[in-house]
Amino acid sequence: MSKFYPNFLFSIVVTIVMNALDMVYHLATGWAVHLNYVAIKLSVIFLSVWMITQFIGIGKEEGVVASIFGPFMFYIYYVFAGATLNREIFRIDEQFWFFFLHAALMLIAYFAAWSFAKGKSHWARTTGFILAASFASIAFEALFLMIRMRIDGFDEETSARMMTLSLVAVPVIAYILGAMAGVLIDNFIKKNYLDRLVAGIIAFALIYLFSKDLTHAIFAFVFVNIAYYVIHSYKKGIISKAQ
Amino acid sequence: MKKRGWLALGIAAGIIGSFYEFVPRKTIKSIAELLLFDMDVLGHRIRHNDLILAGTVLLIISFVSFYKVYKLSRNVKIINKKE
Repeated sequence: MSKFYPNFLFSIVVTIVMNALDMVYHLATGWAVHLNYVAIKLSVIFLSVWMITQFIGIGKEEGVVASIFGPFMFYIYYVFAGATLNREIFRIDEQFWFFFLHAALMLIAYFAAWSFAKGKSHWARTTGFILAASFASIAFEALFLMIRMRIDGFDEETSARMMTLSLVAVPVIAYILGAMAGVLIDNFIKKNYLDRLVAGIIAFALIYLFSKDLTHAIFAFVFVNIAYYVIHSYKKGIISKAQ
Repeated sequence: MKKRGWLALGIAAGIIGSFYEFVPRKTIKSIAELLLFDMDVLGHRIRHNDLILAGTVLLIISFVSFYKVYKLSRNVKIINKKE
């Protein structure tokens, strides 16, 4: 496996986990979550993490630097870019204090992803994995919901208004429960792919039970499996790189 | 790439990035309208926010280049100390 691929996947996981944590916070506290803003946030933070990972490395110092630098560049973008959403209707995370929140969430995301690959204790690896796998799936889920609204023809403001905590509450619980069950299964039955299968089925079942939307549930199963693939692939790459 | 290459990249990306990020659109227009890239690319009109995003990307490249220079300098110092 080339050095580029695990670094690329690691950066994707850090970026999407950070964005999922941020999105859940925003929805819980009444701040708007909007596809265009999420896309900019994903691009700026991904580029910062990937460039540091690819050209400097992965480690504690690099994690702290990326966690401060990524959100800072995002804040700089916000300050100088022109507004596209009506600020009288929507509250956007452009205030300076959000920089500290984004940096804290980025630290959580980076060290969750890092500790799964390089953590010494079983506890650190397991916690890192549950956080990374569940929130990576939540990020895919949020993108799915926002893109679906766009395809359904909703305009920017309507889709931002429709994106609420109640919309993602069940998927958030489903993915976290799925990841925890996957880890439990993996601890007792060490069989390849059984953990991701169980996590995917739990997410599928819970989402289908509450939404009665088969397409959504199938996508949930796929998202869990993509998240597991990405996380296990970067871990394999990082470990083989270290050896 | 060697330390000098990273330094040159950091300076070049920093200057161009800062120009598009911090200089007001009106000032850029007064220097040369061509610098605004006011055109269509694959059916998408290049707007002010696109230039700001390009500026942000260049500033990220600049920062990482300087960070790399710092890391390379620190490694040289550690090697010299060991010797």
